[in-house]
Amino acid sequence: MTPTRAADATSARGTLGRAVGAVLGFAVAVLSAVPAGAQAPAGDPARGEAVFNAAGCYGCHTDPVGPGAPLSGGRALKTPFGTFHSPNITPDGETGIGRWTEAQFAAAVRQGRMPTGESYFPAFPFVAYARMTDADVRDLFAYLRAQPPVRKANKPHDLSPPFGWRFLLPVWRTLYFDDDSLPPAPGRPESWVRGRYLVEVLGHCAECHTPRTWLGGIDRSRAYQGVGGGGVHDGGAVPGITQNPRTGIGNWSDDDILFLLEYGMTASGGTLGGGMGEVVRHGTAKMSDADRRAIVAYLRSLPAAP
Amino acid sequence: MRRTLLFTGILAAALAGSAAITGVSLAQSPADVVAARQQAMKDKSAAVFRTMRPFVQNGAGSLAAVQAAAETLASHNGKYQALWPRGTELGVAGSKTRPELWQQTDRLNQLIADMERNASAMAVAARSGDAGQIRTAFGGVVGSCNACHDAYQSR
Repeated sequence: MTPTRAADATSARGTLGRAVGAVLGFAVAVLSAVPAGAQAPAGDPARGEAVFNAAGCYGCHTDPVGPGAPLSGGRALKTPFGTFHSPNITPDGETGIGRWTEAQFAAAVRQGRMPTGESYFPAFPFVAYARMTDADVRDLFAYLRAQPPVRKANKPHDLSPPFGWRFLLPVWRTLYFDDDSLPPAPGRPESWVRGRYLVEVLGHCAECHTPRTWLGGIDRSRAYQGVGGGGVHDGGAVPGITQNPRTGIGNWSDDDILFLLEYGMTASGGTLGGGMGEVVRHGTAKMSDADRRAIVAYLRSLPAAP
Repeated sequence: MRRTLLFTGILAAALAGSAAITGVSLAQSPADVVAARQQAMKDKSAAVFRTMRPFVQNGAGSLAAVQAAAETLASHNGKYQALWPRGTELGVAGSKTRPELWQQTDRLNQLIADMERNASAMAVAARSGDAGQIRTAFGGVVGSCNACHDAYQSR
């Protein structure tokens, strides 16, 4: 062996050694990051990101005041029932959802059930998410599990009695929760069907734009009529989005609505109040143009509020 | 006498020129300043939301109009600081500016720098005539409008 070849062989062994070391190191790092019992999610995280944006997860699960790390929870949501603090949904095994199975995640999102079987408070919009498709749940789970884990303990809610009594939630659920499928819509174009899914399910628009009963249930008889004050989003007023030209968006053009959903301002340059700026920034601005148009198609079909 | 008049005229012209550059003069009352900045805002708003927006959204209007609007917007660069002197906050002569603006100098300077950069980029994009560039630059401009209004405009 010539000196050059010997040097090459030494170098090759060194390179191989470093490569093996790097692979082993990476494997150890990956194995130690994945909590015991967790399985690799089956969903598509890239598709899950679109679901994540449309479902508005970032806004509630990230504390803008702290500020907290993305998705590590702790955001205070002031409502007439008290202040809720969102939980950590990063894949941390101790304080987040790192040890959850996909089935547990699906039960949380669509049924409002913790892994312990207890009910979440309906500040978490499981009433809307109940109709999320299997594929969207799976992909959303894959996306969340691909995010950086953050160790941050959840903060307890601060609710006024009796709204803080979790044992009353089963009663609330019998009044306001159902997981029936969205009804068939024969004759409606595909874009309307997609828009309905984005508005009613992922976007959970009714949570803020529909008035609530005194028990905090969504009052379907006044769907999307807006909330004059004392709304669930930090107590502010929320405008109606029915086709009523005075209280809703009946005199807005399609371009006006599309502009708001893409840029987060009204067509005349007005800023958006409450949480809508965040909804646009983290959600509708990132959607495809086709999805924003689908939302418009569905909103156009909402009957004008009286 | 004629020399005095000439000197006065030159001085007045110089002051007028200075006021045109800064947008306000030191002698202006708070009410004058608020009126001047609300007019400046109306001019910019018309450029962005009445001329650029329909063009970007569906090609309405003309490229020439968008170019003129972009130049109008960029002509405000360098004038923002002078339009918000202390003593012109919410409650003064119809001002809608929240007092936090004067407590967050670094943030305000950043927002102004972003706006000026975005306005310049919009002017460049408009001159290019490229629809994609115009759309991208327009997003930056609206983002700047929104960021500052969200931070400091009273609702």
